[in-house]
Amino acid sequence: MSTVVITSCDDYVSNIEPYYNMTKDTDLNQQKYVDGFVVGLQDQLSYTIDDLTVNAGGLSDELLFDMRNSQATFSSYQNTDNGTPMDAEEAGGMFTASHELRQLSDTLIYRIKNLIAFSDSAVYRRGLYNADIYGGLGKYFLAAYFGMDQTTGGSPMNIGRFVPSAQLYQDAIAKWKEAITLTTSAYEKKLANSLIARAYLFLGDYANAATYVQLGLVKGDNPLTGKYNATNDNLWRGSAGEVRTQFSVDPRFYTYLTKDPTESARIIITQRTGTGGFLFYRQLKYIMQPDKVTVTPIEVIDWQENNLMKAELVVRGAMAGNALALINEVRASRIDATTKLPVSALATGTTITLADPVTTTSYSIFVERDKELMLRGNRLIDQRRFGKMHIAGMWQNFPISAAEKARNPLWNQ
Amino acid sequence: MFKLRAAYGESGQLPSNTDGLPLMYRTVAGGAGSGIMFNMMGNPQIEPERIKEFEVGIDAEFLNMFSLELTFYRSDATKSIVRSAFAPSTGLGGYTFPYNVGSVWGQGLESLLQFNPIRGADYDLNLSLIWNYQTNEVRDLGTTTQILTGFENVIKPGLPKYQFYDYKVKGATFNADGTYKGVDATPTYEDLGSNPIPKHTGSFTLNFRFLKDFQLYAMAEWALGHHAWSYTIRRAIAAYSYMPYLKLRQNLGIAMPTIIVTNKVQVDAPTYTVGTPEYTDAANQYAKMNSSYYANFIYPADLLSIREVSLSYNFTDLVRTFMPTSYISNVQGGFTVRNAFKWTKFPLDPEVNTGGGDLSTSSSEFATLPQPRTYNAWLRFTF
Repeated sequence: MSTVVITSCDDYVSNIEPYYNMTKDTDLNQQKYVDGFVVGLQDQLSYTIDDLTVNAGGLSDELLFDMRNSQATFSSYQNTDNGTPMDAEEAGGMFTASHELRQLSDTLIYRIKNLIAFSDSAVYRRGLYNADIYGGLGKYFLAAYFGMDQTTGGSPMNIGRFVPSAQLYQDAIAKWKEAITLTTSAYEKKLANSLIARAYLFLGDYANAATYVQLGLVKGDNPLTGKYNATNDNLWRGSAGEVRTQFSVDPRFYTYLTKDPTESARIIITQRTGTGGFLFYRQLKYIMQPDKVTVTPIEVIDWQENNLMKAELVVRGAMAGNALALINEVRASRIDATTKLPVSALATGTTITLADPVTTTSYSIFVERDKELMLRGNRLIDQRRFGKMHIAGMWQNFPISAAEKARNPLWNQ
Repeated sequence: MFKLRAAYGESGQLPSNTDGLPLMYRTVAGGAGSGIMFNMMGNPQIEPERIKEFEVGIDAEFLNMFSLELTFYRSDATKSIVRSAFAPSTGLGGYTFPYNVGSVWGQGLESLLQFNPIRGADYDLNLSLIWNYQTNEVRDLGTTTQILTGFENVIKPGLPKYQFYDYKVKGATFNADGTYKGVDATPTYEDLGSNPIPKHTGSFTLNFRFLKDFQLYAMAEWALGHHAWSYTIRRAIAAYSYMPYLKLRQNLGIAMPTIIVTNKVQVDAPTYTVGTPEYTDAANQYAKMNSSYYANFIYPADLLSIREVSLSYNFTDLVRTFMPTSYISNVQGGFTVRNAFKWTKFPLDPEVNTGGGDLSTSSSEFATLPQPRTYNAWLRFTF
């Protein structure tokens, strides 16, 4: 006996309507959506910068991973602290996020210039200004925090060849310079100038840094920040703060406080006890606010940093000015929430150096930046450029992610 | 009875309902407010997978106590749908994208042998053996050279689907003075020669009724020829909680981590002289425990499990004898042991994994409790 059965079906749903909670790219080519894209860039900055600054702190001598603190368990953080970050867990998320920030910006620029018909030129300029600011930050992050090996900073772009940090900084500068031409707001111009000055400073181009820093943010200007709330938390709280302290703050910050208690206005830490009486220090700068909704933002750049850049450029001889006064202006702006006291001023006549050891009569930019810019991702860059890496022969940036290496054969060419 | 079977069929898998969509955006309520951001990236060119499968087999009964089913199959899948992320440098590395991959070939053998040597009113013995074998190979990915998927897996021409793929640790490197320096690993991801899908799977079942009302049941399962990845051991090493690792540190004279010293953990192992074969061997073993290299934690996961052993007694005749007017129609009682024994090459339990306990999908396990051995005494009434 034999049986032959034939059945067939060759049909399938080939087209469906989009979900109500998402929209096709092409449906967004309207002027009214530009401001929403700008907020998207701001949100992506927030998603990116907390991860970057926590890990950069870990790779630098700013943060400490020690298992005598029982909350320190992640091997990825341990590798980072040891100066041996791997290319998977350690680098993957923030490398992807930095590129996404750049890509969101590039996509918005293309959309604005080619796909949207504008009736309001102010929206056109606002959109492009912000796309340039945030796209520049994406490139800046890639320049400042990633590299193909321990010391060669940079990143591949668009599944293409490796672009060195110097070029990425220049690309970011070009974007920020274009941004200046797109706004009439004095504040927005100053913000872009500060970003440009910082990139030039990190490039070692002190003449250009001096030019732009003098056009940058001044006392009273708002900082550019990454913003957080209860549902979009700041990673500092969960990885190096009040929720969980995988990374603790280096003990030298406690020493800063004991030498000058007024430093509590900007060095906000608390002492904890771990295994065997081990003392470690938890940062409380980034916290959930009493309203249980907002979380402390991260400063991307502020006028205080601009002042310190000026002070450094004065010491480097790139511009005229009073480095001591610039530093003291910053210190006076930091007020302790409890004592209402500012950080004490440096004594008149104190010599300001770049990175010499602090004495009773001299003080260094390197140390002041350590205190003022703590937990903002700057320490790693400062250690590199001042030649003060704390672990010799180890990674001075994060490796290109394994996901990139596996998909991009040009990543190191 | 002898029956020869043959069949040919074509089937496939449809794309998911969003696979065919283009780049989509969504509104995200972030810290800065509600902004428009990427949501997902589909592939408007996605097509259904097509699988062509031919099988031939026999069904046979012989000696009035054996039955045998044998099936050989061969399948060719084209346009299989696989999701993979873009390179991060595109800015879309956080999103996966559905591909139609070129061609995946597979074949296997499925067998069932049943043996019923005793059949009677008071005694009945049934034995059943299932043994399946499968192999497959990715033949073509079109213009794509490889697709990374899952945790440590790749889809790449010439390799079975989901082959483990990562940096391969070859051993240790040494300083000029002969002391341990670090890990000697390949500079790129490589085929690790292992796969999470078992080549052989099967089971054996015994069902024996004796003295009319007693029933003995036992079932064993096995899976052979696959590997699994242990995140648990990696984490234990990273947290200095794995004694073999600490002993190797001691062998190499590497200072113990502060936490081990603080907690006064006793590590009983000799310290070898630099340059001796013992030192070199320990150094190579130490490199292969480096927690930064995932490939170090892929282990053979061959498994044999006595899944269940049960002995029961049917009290129904007794009930009918002593309680003839009872509404109870059936009473059984017994004792069952589940997960009675397990033998595996894997250092932990390969059946606990991040995708749930399943022999066919074991590929990674992390800090979940093994399936417990349970003992159950039970009494069942039917009214």
